[in-house]
Amino acid sequence: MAQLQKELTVLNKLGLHARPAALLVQMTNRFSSEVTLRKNDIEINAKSIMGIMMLAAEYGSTLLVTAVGDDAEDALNAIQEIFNRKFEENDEGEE
Amino acid sequence: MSGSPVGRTLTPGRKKRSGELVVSGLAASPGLVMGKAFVIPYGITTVSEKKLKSTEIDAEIKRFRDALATTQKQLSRLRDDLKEKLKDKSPHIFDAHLLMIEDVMVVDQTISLIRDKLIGAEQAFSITIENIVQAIEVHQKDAYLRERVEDIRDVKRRVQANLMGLDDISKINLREQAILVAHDLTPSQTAQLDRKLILGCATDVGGTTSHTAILSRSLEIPAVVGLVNISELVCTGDELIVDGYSGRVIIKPRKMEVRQFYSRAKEYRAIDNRLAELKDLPASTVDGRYVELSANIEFPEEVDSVISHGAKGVGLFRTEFLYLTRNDLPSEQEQYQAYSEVARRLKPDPVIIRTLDAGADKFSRQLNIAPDPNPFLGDRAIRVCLKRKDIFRTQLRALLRATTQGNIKILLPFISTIEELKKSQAFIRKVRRELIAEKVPTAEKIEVGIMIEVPSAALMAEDFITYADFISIGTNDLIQYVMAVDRGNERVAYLYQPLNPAVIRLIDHVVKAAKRRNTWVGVCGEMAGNPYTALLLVGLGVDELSTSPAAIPGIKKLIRTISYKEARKVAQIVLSFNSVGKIKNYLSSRIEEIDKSLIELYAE
Repeated sequence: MAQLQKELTVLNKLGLHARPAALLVQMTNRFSSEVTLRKNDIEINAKSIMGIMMLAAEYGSTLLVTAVGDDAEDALNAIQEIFNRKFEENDEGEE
Repeated sequence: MSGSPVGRTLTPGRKKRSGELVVSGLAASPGLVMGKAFVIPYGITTVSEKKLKSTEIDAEIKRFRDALATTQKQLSRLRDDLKEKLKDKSPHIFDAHLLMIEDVMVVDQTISLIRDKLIGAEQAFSITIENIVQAIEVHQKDAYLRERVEDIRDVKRRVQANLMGLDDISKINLREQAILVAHDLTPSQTAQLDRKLILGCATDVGGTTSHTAILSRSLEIPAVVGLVNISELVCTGDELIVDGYSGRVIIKPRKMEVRQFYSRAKEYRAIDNRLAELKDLPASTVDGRYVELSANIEFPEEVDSVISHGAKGVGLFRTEFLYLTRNDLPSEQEQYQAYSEVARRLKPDPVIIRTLDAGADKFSRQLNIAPDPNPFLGDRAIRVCLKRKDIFRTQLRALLRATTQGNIKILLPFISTIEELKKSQAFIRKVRRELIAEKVPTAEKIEVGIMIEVPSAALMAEDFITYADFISIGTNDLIQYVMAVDRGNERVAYLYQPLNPAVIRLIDHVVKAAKRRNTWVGVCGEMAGNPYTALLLVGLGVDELSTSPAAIPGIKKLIRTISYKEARKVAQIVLSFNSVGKIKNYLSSRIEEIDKSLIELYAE
């Protein structure tokens, strides 16, 4: 079983509010690996939207993503992709 | 009604000595009361606390899971509808809400709280969510992200509502008499409370014509609204004095205030007793002009109060009560019984029943209509009824059938064009023909009138009257539409000016049109229940004033004190003024000359 880690930066202007958090959860739910996000001292389950919102990850903040499981690599790549695409929010970022 | 003839600006509460706190708001319903507070927390209808037995744990957890499942279903439907409508495939905010409902952290924590602490699902869920919200608020520096906790609270409200059964707040344990303190009271909240236990109301928001105000006046209990943050300042069990005359609330009053309270309460009782002596006397001016003085009611049970205050029938019977606290539509028979009961008890006095005034802001769930971006200018009242003929037909059948039981008249709300009026009249005739064909009896002559509450109808009054048996001026809405002001918004409530010259001149225009057409004209807004405006309305020549039962004796005393000749002169002078200030000053001085005791009750 693989354990992989990666540091990712929040690039969308409005940060990880409810909608990007939802997108992230929907993404991680597709993988069997356990995925956690860590910001400063807080570590949460990346399959919990409330957990992600508790991170209060604003624009520019850096998160340590850890994936543990058979599909850890795929999971991590998918998550990186979604971070890079700024959670599909344009920079005006209004819902 | 407000203490002054026009709305006044709000002043924030100030700290006074230790413990005691005086907060000022808008006087919404007259009266003076002291009692224990019962606070309805903002956002959550209530969280009842209970202690589970260990045998009840599994059932409680199942109840929690069921509520989650129900909420999920509701939200999915909402999301799908919306996506369909917007032709939008991208993830919506409701997707986030759905994920919050099935969130592992939330579900696990709630269940372990139920198990370990033996508390009810409502409470366990509430604690879990509030912990998360708090954590977010603590860590969150970004204002935008902090605002997003509202999403979480929204989900919480949905789940809580399902846990308690939709709209069901009967679980508010109002077991003893108390003063209700809330951010705002909604019809569905108050409808399930035992009214006998409500001593008074105090709310953060709302104007003098908000639901809280109307309910309080109909229950004849004092209320103060627009207190900004009273629901945060007061805890359940705190001693409170609510002064619905001056618009003040005293939290934890000291001995001095309590003594003053008792002496003032005694004074008011004496005034009430004097007014009660007028009960069986007609509302006629000294020179013999008779004005019909009738009551506005929301619930059939208010008939007692109509009779005890000496009102001449009902000038406005709102029918929205039938739709409260339920998810389906009221049946024809149910409606027939409610209308008949009121008509029978007040016979031969008239009962003017207004057809459904619902829309996007009220009862949209039952009517299955989409939310309106601006309900005040949106799909409501007759506009909805003419589209939903099924609902309109049921109500009209009940109304027409009930005409055999007493003196019922039908009032159509929110008419804004001649076409609407003609269509409504044609539909009423059609429904009546259907009843006749079914050999169901109706009265021989049934009067159908219209509310004048939209400026277009007021300006065209004379044309509208051609198609109506009578008119009733709904001043609450008319003022809002003439002044372009939402009376419920305390930032602009000062512009809700019954004495604005534009409002008065428009009313004068409508009354004159009615006189030319020999048509009966009444007034069924708050203006009818305030001595300043009532004096003016009598002088303008209206045939009827309809107001809350509690305000009837005071207005009757006014009418019996003045002469019609004098009132007409007052009205003519008022019509010449161009500012609300001049009108207010003039009327104040006239009322003072006429009868000082009248303003005792309304003085600030």
